[in-house]
Amino acid sequence: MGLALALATWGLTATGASGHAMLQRAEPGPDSTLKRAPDEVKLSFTERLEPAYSSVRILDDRGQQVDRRDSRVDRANRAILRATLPPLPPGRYKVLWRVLSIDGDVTDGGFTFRIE
Amino acid sequence: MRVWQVAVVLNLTFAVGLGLGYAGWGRRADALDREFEAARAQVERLERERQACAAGGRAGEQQWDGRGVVRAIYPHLVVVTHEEIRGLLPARTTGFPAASPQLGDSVRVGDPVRFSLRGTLIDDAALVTIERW
Amino acid sequence: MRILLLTALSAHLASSVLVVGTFFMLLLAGPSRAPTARRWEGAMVVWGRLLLLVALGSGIVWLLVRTALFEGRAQAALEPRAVLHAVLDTWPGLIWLARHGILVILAAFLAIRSDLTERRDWIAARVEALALGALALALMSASSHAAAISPGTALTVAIDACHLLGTGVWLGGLVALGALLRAASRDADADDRAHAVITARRFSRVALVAMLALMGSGVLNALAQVENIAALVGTPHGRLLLAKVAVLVPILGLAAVNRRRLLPALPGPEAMRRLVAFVGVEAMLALVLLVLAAAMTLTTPARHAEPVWPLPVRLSLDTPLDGSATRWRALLASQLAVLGAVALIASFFSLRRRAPLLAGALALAAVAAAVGLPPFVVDAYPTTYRRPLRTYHATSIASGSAIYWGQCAACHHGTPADLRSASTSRRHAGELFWLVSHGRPERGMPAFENRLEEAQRWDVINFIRALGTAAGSKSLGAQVQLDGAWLIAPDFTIFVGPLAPGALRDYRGRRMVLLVLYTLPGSRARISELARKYNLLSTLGVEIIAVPMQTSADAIRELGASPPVLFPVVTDGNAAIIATYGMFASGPHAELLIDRQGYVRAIWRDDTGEIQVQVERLNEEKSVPPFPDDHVH
Repeated sequence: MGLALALATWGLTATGASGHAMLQRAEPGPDSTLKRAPDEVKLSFTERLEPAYSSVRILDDRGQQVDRRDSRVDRANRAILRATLPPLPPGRYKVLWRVLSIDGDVTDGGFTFRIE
Repeated sequence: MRVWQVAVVLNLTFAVGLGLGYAGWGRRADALDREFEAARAQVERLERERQACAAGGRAGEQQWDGRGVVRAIYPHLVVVTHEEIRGLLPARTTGFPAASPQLGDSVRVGDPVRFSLRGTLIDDAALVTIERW
Repeated sequence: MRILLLTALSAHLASSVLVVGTFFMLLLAGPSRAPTARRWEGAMVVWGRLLLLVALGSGIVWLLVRTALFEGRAQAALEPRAVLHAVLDTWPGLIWLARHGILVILAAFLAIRSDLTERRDWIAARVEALALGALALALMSASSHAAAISPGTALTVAIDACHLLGTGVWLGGLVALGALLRAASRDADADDRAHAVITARRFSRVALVAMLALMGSGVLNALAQVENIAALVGTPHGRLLLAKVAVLVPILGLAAVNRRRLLPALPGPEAMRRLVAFVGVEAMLALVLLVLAAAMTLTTPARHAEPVWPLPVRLSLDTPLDGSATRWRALLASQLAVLGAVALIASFFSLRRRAPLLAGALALAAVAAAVGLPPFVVDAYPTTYRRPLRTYHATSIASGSAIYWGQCAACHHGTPADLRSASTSRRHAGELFWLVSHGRPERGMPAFENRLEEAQRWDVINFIRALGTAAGSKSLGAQVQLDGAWLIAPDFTIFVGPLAPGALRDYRGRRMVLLVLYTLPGSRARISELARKYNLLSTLGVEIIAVPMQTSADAIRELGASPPVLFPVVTDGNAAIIATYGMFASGPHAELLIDRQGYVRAIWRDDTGEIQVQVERLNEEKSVPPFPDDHVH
């Protein structure tokens, strides 16, 4: 039994940060530069998400949250997470997301984009 | 009660409970979803009608706002490559009838613009304002 | 925290499985009047109640730890509001609630002390307990990795449920059987031997079916979650699966011995005691399997994880069979393999010569492998099967090109033939990544790990891939070759003014794209011609995307107003597109026809042709090539 637990723990810890729903596509794209402020941020994941624990925030250079705080899982396609934005001034912005996939594991990540 | 009777009652309670649950909540959830989508579309339409009314439109007209790039200007038609106009058109290139011949004078081909359309449906939606963005 | 989660989940899984098996065995054994049997039945029911308590308790611990994981704070495990939110507002939570509700009902049912002398009552009690336990166990599949697969969720969940129920019947049954056999093997209880032996024989038959169902559904599960050998051997999830299979082998061996030797020798006391011992060992190993399975639930499925290849070599089946020596070896190896297969089949039929035939088959297989496989063995590195960090996109290729010409061209003397050759194209992207990162000291290439960021190295790999296809693109001309799609069109971003940008990828599956790389004033006549034909081409399913060789925010205005040019004209990011597609067609004006699947099918360099004819030919193509992957391989 001890051997089993040891084997299993080795298997688990060797993963490091494990999670199941990965970011597949993002609009605006990671590290992209846009000419005008976008209306919303749309993230597509590899698996369906649990709305109760999936959210995204957009922060500006100083760490202030600038989105409309309405991040939600799309009703038609449960693998898409979106949040709308007010008109933003030029600058660098950080998108931070944390999602729970339908099989019960948490993933998080982030990227930046710029508005000229 | 005999054990087998207990077992039968238990199973029946399960089945009835599941059936009631589905009938009571499962089906209603789907119906509520559809009602919600319909109500949301209705609210957006009313908002557009209100905007049109406030800007001097006739009864029943809606107003849509959009952003795009001008591709061609004629006295009675302006062709614009635009982003999605919510409640009207997906992102594409469309020719809009101009409400007045002087509308296109303020912009040139290739300019990024903000514009608004007024009408009852796409078939008679006309360009009422256009300005450099 | 994860250790706690694993322990709780293992305990819960084990107890749920054992509950199903215990009641299954009770049903299988049938009602009996012998005092030993009745004592065993009573002991099993008590054992069942205990298991339920363990299942409920560990289930609650599992829920609390998961709440903490969902919320991201350890204190959330003890906050009632957070726990209720996790249970009631998520799908896994609702499944947990349903399962534990069923377990509570089962516990209440078992708590009734009732008179089971009548056959009808006895059957009802046992069947009801089994049904509730099995339902609680099977529902676990609804929130497992299987539930995350779409499309085909219902089928995958059903297969997983079958796997769980098979485990319940077989593993849980083993433990109960062991207890029965132990009770019956004591000399004082010789009156019950017959009953125990009959039960053991019945179980053996059922266990065979359960085992086959287990292995079949296990294989199907594995195919869904682990898509290839790299994922099996290179990810923690895949390695746990291998460990499970490794533990399964001795179990199958023991089961075979039990069935073949010991069962027929019953009810001799020696055979009985040995059977008890073997069943005990099988049960212990099976519990190890359960813990591994619980760990698999908590790891990223192999199809989503990045494989780390552990061996220094790998088999590459697309090594070309050039050279007659390789061909002879392959032929010889295949003949030996066939002989070995024949020997294997013969060993099933012949009883007397089975051992030597089996040994011969194995020896032949070993020799066949030794002779035939070495030509297919190539070097491999830990990153061979990694998915590239950057997609096959024009910005990545252009960036890679700049880095290459800056840092690599000096030593490689420009773009040499070996980098553009087919053998380099056959190497996996991850291999090239390793070579670029760690260098090839024996050939004087330095390691770029510290000089280039990981993303930059992948950019260079994308550039090398594009280089390889560019060499072959010379064969593409003004005529579309039907059923011959191979040149993947690199993705690019389409900026039209300041509007939200699109991408070439958006047209996949929807429209063909005619990519026009142009320079003014030379291309003006052609652009006007295309503008006039745009409506017709659009109706035939083509979108025209014009990219001026010089980036200009005024590109649209420069094209003029008569005739109006209404197709997309790219105003930003031109340099990357020109750098990439210029590798396929250089010159001041070029047109490339990209089909709906994302492959370049025709190229017009410096001359313009009848686009419409080629578009119609593409429309007539019947067999459609598969969508290319976003990443290079």
